[in-house]
Amino acid sequence: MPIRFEKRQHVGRLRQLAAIGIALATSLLITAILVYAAGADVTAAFASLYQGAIGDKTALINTLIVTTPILLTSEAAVLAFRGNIWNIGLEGQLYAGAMFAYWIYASTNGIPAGFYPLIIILGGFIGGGILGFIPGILKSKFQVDVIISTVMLNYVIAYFLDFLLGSSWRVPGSFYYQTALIDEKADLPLLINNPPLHMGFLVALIMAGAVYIILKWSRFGYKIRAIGENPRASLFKGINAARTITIALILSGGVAGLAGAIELFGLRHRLRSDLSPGFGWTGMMIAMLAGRDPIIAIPAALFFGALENGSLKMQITTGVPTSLVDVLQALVVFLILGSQVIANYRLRRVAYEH
Amino acid sequence: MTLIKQENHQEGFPEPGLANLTNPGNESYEIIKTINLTKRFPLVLALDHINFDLRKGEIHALLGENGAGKTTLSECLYGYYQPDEGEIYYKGKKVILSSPRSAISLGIGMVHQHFVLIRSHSVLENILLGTRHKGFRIDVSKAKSKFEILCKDYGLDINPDSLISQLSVGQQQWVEILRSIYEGIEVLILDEPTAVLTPQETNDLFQVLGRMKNKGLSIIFITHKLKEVNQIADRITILRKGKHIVTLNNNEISEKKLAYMMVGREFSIAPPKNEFQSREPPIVELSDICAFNDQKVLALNHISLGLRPNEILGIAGVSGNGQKELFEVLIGIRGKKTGSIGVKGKKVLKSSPSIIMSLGVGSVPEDRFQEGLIPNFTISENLILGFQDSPAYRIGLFFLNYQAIDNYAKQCISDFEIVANSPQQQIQTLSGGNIQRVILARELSQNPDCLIANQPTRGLDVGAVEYIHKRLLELRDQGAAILLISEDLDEILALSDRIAVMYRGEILKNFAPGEQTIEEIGLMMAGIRPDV
Repeated sequence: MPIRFEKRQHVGRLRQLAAIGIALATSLLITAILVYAAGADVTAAFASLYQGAIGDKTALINTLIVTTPILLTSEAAVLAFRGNIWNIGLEGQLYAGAMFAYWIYASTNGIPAGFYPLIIILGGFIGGGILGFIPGILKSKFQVDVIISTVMLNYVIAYFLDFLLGSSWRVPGSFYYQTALIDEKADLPLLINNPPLHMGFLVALIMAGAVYIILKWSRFGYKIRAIGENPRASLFKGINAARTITIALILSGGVAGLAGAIELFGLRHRLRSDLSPGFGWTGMMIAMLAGRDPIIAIPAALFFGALENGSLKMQITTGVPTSLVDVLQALVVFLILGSQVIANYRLRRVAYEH
Repeated sequence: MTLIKQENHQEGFPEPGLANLTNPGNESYEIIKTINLTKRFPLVLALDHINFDLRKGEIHALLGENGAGKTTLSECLYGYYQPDEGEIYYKGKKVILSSPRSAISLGIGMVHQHFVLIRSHSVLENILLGTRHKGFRIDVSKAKSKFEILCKDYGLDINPDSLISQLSVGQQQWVEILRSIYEGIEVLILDEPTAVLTPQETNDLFQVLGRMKNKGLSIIFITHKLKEVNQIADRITILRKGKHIVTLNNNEISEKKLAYMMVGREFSIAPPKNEFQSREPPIVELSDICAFNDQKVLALNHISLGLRPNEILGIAGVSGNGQKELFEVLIGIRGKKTGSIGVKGKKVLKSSPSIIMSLGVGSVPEDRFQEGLIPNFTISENLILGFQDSPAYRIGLFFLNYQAIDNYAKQCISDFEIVANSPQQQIQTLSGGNIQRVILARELSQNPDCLIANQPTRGLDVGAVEYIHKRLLELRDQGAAILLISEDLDEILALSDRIAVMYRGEILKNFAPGEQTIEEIGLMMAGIRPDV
C-alpha cells in the first residue's frame, strides 16, 4: 500500500495550533540532544535558560529590553511583507536610523533635555525612512528589484558607518572605531528605575498597534494588502502600486530605524559598527513565524527575546554556549513554518490496481 | 443539422465475443460501470452515490450545470480523484484507479478543456511525448506511419511535422484526441470539448467522434450545451448538485424538459432584446488602435469601434484573436502602439485604469480570481476594490469606514441576490456565480456610463448566466454602452444590438444581428472574410 500526500481543502484552527505545539516540542527535543551531545546537563541547561529569561523581575525586565529592537524590526518586516514587498534591508535601515538620530543629537548641542526623546524617535524614523525610500523610488521609477536594492544598501550603510567612525565621528584619541559616549541627558527616559527599563519597549508596543491599525483600518493598509494578495487585480482596479510600495518601504524602513535609534540611546549609548547583532534578520524570522500578523509578532518577539536573554545565564551556569539559542531559534522557525505547510496536507493510503 | 444518426448500440460494437464473456446475456456491454460512487470535498458532496454506466461504442453525454459533478465524475474515472465510497467496474472487473497512469494503461483517456501540448514542438513529437516506449531509441518513421494511418482512419488532415503553434485551436484538439487514441484507448472522456471551437469546427469534431464511435470507441462527452447533446449523444445522463437525476436515450424528451431537469426549475432561454438601433454619439470611441500582446506580436491591428449608449456591442470570435488585448487597452493597463481612445467626446491622452474608471467606465475581467477580485479578502473589501479612496467609504483622510462599507455590502448582497452569510465572508468561499455577482455589483453600483465585459458568464451555471444577462440588459436600457466580449456565440447573438467579429486582431465585420447567418459568422470567426 503506497502512501501519498494530498492537499487538504480546509485546515482547522485546532490542527494548526497542534502543529505549532509539535514543532515547538520537536525544536526543544533536538536542542536537548545537542546540549546532551555537548556533554552538559540538559535539565540544568534548560532550567538556567528559563531562570535567565523570566526567572525573576530583573530577568523579565532584561527580556523586555532584548525584545525591543527585534519587536520593532519584526513590525517593520510585517508592514512590508504583507504587501509581498521583500524588504531585506532592515539591518541597514536600523543603522541608518541610529546614525541619523546620532547626527541630529551631535549637531544640536545645548537644546533642552526634553527634546531628546523626540530627536531620537523622529531621527530614527526619518533615517530609516530615507533608506527605505531609495529602494522604493528605484522600484517605482526603474523597476529595480526590491530584494536586490535593499540587501545591497545594507552594505552601503555599513561601510558608510565605518567611514564615519574612522573619521569625523571617531572619539578623539580612541583606539576603537566608535563615537564618544552619549550625554546622559540624551538617554532614553526610563519607565522603571530599578531595574532600569527604558521607554523603548513601550514605543515598540505602540508601533505594533500602529502597524495593526494601518494594515487593518487604513486606506493605505488596504492597498498594501491588496497588492500583496493579488497584484494583478489591484492593477486592473487602478491601485497605484508604485506609490503604495514606496510609502510601505518608507514606513517599514522608518520602524526599523526606530529600532536602531532606541537601541543606541536606550542601551548602548555609544555608536559602533556592532550596534546590531542581526536584529533586522531576526525581525524577518519573527515576522514570518508570526504569519505576517503584527499582533502575533508580539509574543513571537518576546519568545525570541526571552531565549536570547536566558542564554547568557545558561552559558554562565552550565557552560553551554549562547549560540545554541541561535540554533534553537532557527529550529523553531524552520519547524513551525514547515509544520504549517505539512498541516495543509494529509497522508492517504492508495492502492494499486491490476 | 444532425450529423450523427441515432444508432443501435450493437451496430458499433466490434467485439461481441468479449461482451458475452464478461457480461453474458446483456446485449449492450457496459465497458464502465460505477456503483454508488461518492466523492466528498470539504463542505461539498461532489458526487452522491452515482450509478453511471457507459456502453461499448456509444457517445454518452454528461449534462449538468457547473458544479453538478460532471468533471468530478470523469476525474474519478480517469484516476485523478479517488472516490470516497463506491466501486468502479471496467469491462466487468472491479478496478481501483489510483492515478491517470493506471487509467490510461487500462485504456481510458481524457482530453481536458485546456490543452497540454508543447507549442514549439511538432505534432508527432507531442504525440510521442505522451506515450511510453520500450528501449532508448524512438522509431520515428514507424510512429509517423502509425500516426498517418490513424489520421486517415478518421479522415483528419494533420501534418505530423507541423508545429503545434501553427495549428488552429480545432486542430490542436484533434492532436489531443489522437494522442489518446495513439495509446490504444477504448474509452475517451472529453471535457467540454466545444468550448473553444467555432460552429464549423464543432461540426467537424462531431463527425470525427461519430467515426470513432463506429470503430467501437466509447465516448463520454461532458457539456452544458443542450443543442450539442441532441446533436451527438446516444444517451444522456443528467447530474445536478452531485446527484444522478436521470439517464435516458437521446430524443426521448424535449430540449426544454432537459433544461428543466438540468437546472431543477424553469428558466427563460432567450432574454428580451432591444429593438432600436442607437444613433447617439458613442460614449467610448476607439480609433485605429494597434497594440502588441505579451509576446510583442501585433495583437490589435487597426481596430476602430464606437460604444454607443443604449447598445450592447458583442465581440464574437474564437479566443486568442486579440479580445484580451482589446479589453486591456480599453481599461488602460495595456499600452497602444497607435490610435486613440476617446471618452464622451474627449481624447484620453494618458490612459491608466484609474483615469478610465474615473471617466465612468466599469469593467468585468475575463479571469475572476486573478483579475477581478482578491480571493483572501472579504465580500465587503472586494466590493470597494478600486473605489477605496471614495469619500463614501472613508473616515477622515486615512481610514476606511468599515461600517459604511458593510452597509453598502449588505445592500449589494440583497440587490444582487448574492448567496452569502455575511459581508465579512471571505469571497473565495462563494460559488462562481456569486463571485461574479459581487464583481457585477461592484461595477454597477458606480452607475457606469460604459461597461466593458470580457467573458462575463464563462463557467457559470445557467441560473447565474441568466441573472447576469438580465443585469446587462437592464444596464443597457438605463442608457449605458456595453462592450460584451464572449467566445459563446449564442450569448453574443442573444444579447447584442450590434456584432463585430474579431479574427487575428482585426474586426472583420461590424453588423446588426440578423444581417448575417450563423454560418457566415462562423466562417468569419475562422478568418474567412465576408464578400463585400
